[in-house]
Amino acid sequence: MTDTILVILTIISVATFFIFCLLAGQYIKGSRGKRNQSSSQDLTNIGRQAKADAQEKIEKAVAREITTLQKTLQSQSETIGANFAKNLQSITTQQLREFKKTMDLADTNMKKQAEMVASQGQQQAKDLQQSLTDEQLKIKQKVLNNTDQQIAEIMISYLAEVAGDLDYQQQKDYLYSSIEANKDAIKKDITNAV
Amino acid sequence: MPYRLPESIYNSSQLRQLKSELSRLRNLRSPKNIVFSNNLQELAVANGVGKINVATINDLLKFIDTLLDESPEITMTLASAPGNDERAELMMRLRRQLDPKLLVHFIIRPELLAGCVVRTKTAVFDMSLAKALRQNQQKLVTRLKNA
Repeated sequence: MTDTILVILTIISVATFFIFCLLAGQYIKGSRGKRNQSSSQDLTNIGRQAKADAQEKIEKAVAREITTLQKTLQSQSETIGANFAKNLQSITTQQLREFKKTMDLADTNMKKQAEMVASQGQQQAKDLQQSLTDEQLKIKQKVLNNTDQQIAEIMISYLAEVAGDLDYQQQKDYLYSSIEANKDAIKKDITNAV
Repeated sequence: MPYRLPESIYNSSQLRQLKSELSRLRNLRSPKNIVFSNNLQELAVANGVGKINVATINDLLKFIDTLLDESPEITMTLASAPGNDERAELMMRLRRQLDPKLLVHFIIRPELLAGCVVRTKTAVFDMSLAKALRQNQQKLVTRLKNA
């Protein structure tokens, strides 16, 4: 900002100088007219010499100012370039930092999500494995129960074949004892029914 | 005179047959050369009825009607069929233990192995050996495996 103001001030000073030169030229021109009316040939020569001197001085001053201006401009240009480069570097660095920050955040979020998904997957796999294990145990138990039941049925069938040869007399004691054991319950039921 | 129900008469079907027989006898004009059924003879002997006449027939009919109305009847399933004496002994036990006027409908099912299943109007009492074996199935299997 300061550099810009310096450049503007320099331009204003150069423009002021040109205006000053133009006004000086007008003044000299005016004074020459007056001299023509009232002076002699010497005066004309002196005027020419003065004009030449003034023109030379002006040209030198202009050349000096132009040189100074060029130097200033170059200096300002370099400063501006340096500042621009500095600012650009700063902006770029900041942008890069922001970009890196954003990328880091995105990376962190992705990692978290990936971990969450992996965790959920592991839990689901664990649940599924547990469920399969339970189911296997149930099936195993069912098969064992069925096997036991089949063994029992085979044994009962065998006993039925054997008992087919038993007559009433042989199983009478079992019959009487079972009736004796349940007589109260049967009697109670009969009495209630009547 | 209170009558007694002989053990040979054990179900309602027999009582209805007796009732039918007694009703026929009561309606006969000349009751000669009549052959009585075994059940009627048993009933008469058990109750000391020496002579079948209209009065005794009426008394017996009244007794049978009372039995049909009031006697509890159960269904007893056995693994094997008892003989007449064995059934009579069983009826005597049942009437002594449960009810003096008890009537029993017998069914034979060998798959019970032994024991019986008693069905009343409202309940079932499975006292069969097959049921006992199934209830103790695990013990049976364990013993078979250890044998």
